Amino acid sequence: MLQAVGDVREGFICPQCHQDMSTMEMLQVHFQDIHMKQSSSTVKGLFSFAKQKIKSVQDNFTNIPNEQTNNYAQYFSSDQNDSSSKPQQIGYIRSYTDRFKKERKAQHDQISIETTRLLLRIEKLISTGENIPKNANTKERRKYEQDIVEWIDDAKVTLCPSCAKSFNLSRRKHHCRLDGFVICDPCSRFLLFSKARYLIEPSTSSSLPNGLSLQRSNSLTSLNSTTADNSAYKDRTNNEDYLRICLSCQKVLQRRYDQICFKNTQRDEVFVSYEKIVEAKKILDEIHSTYSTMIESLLNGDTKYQIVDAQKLYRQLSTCYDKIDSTSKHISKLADSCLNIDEDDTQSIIRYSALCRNMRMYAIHVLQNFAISTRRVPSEEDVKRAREERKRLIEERIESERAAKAELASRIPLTDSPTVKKKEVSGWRPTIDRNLLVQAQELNPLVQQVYQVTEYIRQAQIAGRLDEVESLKLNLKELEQALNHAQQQENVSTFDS
Amino acid sequence: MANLNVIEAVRFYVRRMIEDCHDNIKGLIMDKETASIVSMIYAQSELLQKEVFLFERIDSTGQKSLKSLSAICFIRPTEENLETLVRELHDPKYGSYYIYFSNFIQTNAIKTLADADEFACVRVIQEFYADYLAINPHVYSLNIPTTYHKYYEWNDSVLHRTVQGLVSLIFSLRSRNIIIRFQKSSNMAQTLADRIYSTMKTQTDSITSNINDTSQTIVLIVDRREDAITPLMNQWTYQAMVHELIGIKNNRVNLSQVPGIKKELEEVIMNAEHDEFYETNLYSNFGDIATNIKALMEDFQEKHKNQSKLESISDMKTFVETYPQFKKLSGTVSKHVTIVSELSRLVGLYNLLEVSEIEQNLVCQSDHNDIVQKIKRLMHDDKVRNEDILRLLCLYALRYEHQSNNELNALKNEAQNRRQLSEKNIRFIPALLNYGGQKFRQTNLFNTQTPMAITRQFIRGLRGVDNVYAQHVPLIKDLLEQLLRGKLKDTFYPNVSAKDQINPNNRNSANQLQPQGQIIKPSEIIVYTIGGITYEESLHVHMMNKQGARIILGGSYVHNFSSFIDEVVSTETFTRLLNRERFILLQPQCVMRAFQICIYLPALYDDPWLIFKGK
Repeated sequence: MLQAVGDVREGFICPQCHQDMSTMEMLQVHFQDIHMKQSSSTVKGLFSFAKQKIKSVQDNFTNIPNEQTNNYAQYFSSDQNDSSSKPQQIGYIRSYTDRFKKERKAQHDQISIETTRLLLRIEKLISTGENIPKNANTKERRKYEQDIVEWIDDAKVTLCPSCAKSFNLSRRKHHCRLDGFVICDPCSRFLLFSKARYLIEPSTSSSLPNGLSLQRSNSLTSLNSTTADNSAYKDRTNNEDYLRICLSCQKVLQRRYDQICFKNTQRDEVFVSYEKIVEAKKILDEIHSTYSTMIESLLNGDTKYQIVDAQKLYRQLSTCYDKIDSTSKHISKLADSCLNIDEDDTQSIIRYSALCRNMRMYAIHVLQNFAISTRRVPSEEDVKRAREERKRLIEERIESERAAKAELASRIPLTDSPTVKKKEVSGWRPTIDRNLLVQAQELNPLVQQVYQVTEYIRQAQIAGRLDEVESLKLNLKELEQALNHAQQQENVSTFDS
Repeated sequence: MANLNVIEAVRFYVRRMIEDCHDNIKGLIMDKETASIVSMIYAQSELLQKEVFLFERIDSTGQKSLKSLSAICFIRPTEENLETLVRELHDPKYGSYYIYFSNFIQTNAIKTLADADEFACVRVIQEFYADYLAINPHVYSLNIPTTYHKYYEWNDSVLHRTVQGLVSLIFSLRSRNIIIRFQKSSNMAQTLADRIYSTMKTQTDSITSNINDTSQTIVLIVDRREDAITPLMNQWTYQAMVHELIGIKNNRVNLSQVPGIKKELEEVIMNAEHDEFYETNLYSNFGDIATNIKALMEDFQEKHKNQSKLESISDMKTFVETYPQFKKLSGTVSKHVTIVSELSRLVGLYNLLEVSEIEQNLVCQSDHNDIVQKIKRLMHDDKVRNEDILRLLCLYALRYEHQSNNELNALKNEAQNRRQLSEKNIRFIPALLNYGGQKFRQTNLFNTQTPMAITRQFIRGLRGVDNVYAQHVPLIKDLLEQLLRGKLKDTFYPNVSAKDQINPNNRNSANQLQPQGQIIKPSEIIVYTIGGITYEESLHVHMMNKQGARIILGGSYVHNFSSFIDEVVSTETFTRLLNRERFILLQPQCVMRAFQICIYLPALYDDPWLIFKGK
């Protein structure tokens, strides 16, 4: 907390308690005097370690009769290269996406070549320049059409390629205007100029899509064969220009038409509303993080922000909050209305309302999370109190540092030797003879401990630290008792098995 | 060292699926099987938070198109699913498709799908090998209720599903080098082992990642027929008990039979992943659960009291903050209290303690006359269910199958006289002997001879039986211990073609595997039980895992007594039906034979016409 306030301090500052020591020496003394004792009261640490050892040994003895202690881990590999030593990862995955896309591209390329060829022809056929003959002017028109697409010779074809019936007086030969093949009338399809224009430029001819989208499911082929489809017949007589095309061309164009429709489908109201929620949530996320840091700092008594700022942000938060709430309510209402769905299609209705309800649930959850994590704006008094508190704390610290400094300063100049001596004393630490350790390694950990402790006692005696010797001796006694106990138990257990 | 966790493995896949789709609004399309795979590990509310707003079955999508929705399709690569998908792509209802198959797909399927995708709305096609139900971190199931086909052989489709399931498990755990060991006495185990071996061989290379990975995974394939006892026993740990007495299906427990049940508790979900109490008590003994549930109740009441006095604003605030947890806790409390009280009601009602004690003694001790008397006595006890009498008869039949003074028929008759056992139940005993009788078993199931069992009995003798209801130790534990100690005999559990392990880049280690008796230290062991596992086995494997083992246990199904009866009886009926058919087929042959004799009989004489000449 103290550092978080952000005032940078220089000088000989103790890394542990942040007190300012005026000189290097003083810092050293201070650190060894105060912190070394805490962190490395070595002897004590060793003893608690030894006690733990004893305890675990005892535990082992009490557990041995239980047959279940055998550890299975030894039977499993513990190799470093082993995958099992790492945290579990996601399993194998095989991706076919690239191959799939390649296949799809090959397929699509082929189709698009065909489509563009047809579209280019259509563009020429339906263009309405001055010198281009109108449909009414049959002969010239035919010549014009034949210039663009070469018509196949009538004589070569005896059967209609799609229905395989022979041509005669009643079954006349016709030409597809797009690829020039011969077809009979029932097998022909008719493409209105207006729709052809839409195919070429779906985006620009904006007036048409509305009419088209209404009948998009039955689509382009609205100009069906003359006899079969009444409305189509009307269309045909409707004065509007059209192109006679064959089935295969129709199929290609239909696909193009479907794709355009697929891209241009209007989004349901639900999704538009949901976008709003997402947007609001994004803003909420942003504001929320700044807001919480602001509140945090205000309550810490920092003067960086004012309460007014927090209140302003809080208002913004609650507008976002309201927006999410109201939009999601709106969505959940949509669940019952089910726009654009046939009433018979119960599957879709269920699906649609489930979707809406789930969105509402999601929104509620988001709101809940925010509600829990948002703190109210603190009152003036709270902030005031926090600031005073902080001020007091800072003053206190400065005061205590000053006192400590004074104390240290008074201690150092006394004599030079005490500091040296003191250093030695506080730094005193029994060292372990390596050779002894190696010897002891083969022994029981308890025996090892006993050895070490006796060694420490000897060292402490040499160093003349009587109190340390006293406590060490006490510990040695404990150790020996435990050792005896353990040995007895061991005897018993070996006897048992 | 982290233990491999099958639940985590499936979770990884599902999480990745959802995260890879960056669009806002997602729909998850599944088939029947993948739906249960996902529902085992994710609660719907959890997925909802990741903006998955629609859950659909691929076979029942509506007409209305939702182009703003991205569809995450997680489906099994079956023919039907592919057909449905192709149809869907021709007339897409969603804006984009992220397709994940739970297993291998044929390569030509890619072409079919690519051709179908006219609108270019497929974004991703991947194989995510989550093709099994993850029940507990160390337990999986393939959810095949009946594995055995006629004469205890594989049915092609079931075999295919099993191979796919197991290989997907291996891949989902990132195991590459596997050693397959199978139970030799079972043809099915052998077939399965071979199929897995060849599938792994063809599939591994295309997926390989880390070549330096030297970890070995042992796949142990066993047959339920080797140990038919475990599914017959009453259970006393929480999860096993619930399954035995009420029934767990895909983590759902149907409580509608419980008298006076509240409407909202008729079907509860028991998922250890989302239910702390359940998680800690899955393997607790029945007695302990009662104490734990009491503590839970007290904790709840304490909190409830705190909740009820909302005096200051800070109280309100803590209430709002802890409310979700509070609500969750209250749900858990009422659920577990209901279940535990129902369990204890059933235990008292059917006198299960006594039944179970006799069951355990029957299996683990060897005082024949005493047991017979006890069974006879239980038959007179009206509280005891017919089902439990049947358990005892079955255990008796298996245990003393070849004993000369076998009193099975006497017991059967008496049971018949005193109680009305259904026809299915009566058929079950011979069917069971056929299923898991001594004829089939290669080890002595009631083993009093193996060193392991002897030590166990010795220790038990020293300490006295600490829990009479948990004396029985399933065979699988013995097998696993033997396997770990390198004592599982190759003659009974051979290795699939040990010569060329699936480890082409590491010949050395393959050679090391050769000498028998050499212990391979595996990184984990995967067990597959043809014919299903039980929660008792799950418990024992869990105990081993707690002591440092890394074992994953699974099978075709998780059985309780009644589902086990169903499987055995249906297999048996099928087999018998076929036997009878053969007999019918034989009859014309007899006629033919008779006819032939008539024709050739005259040939025995020197002169064919002698008979007629009458001289």
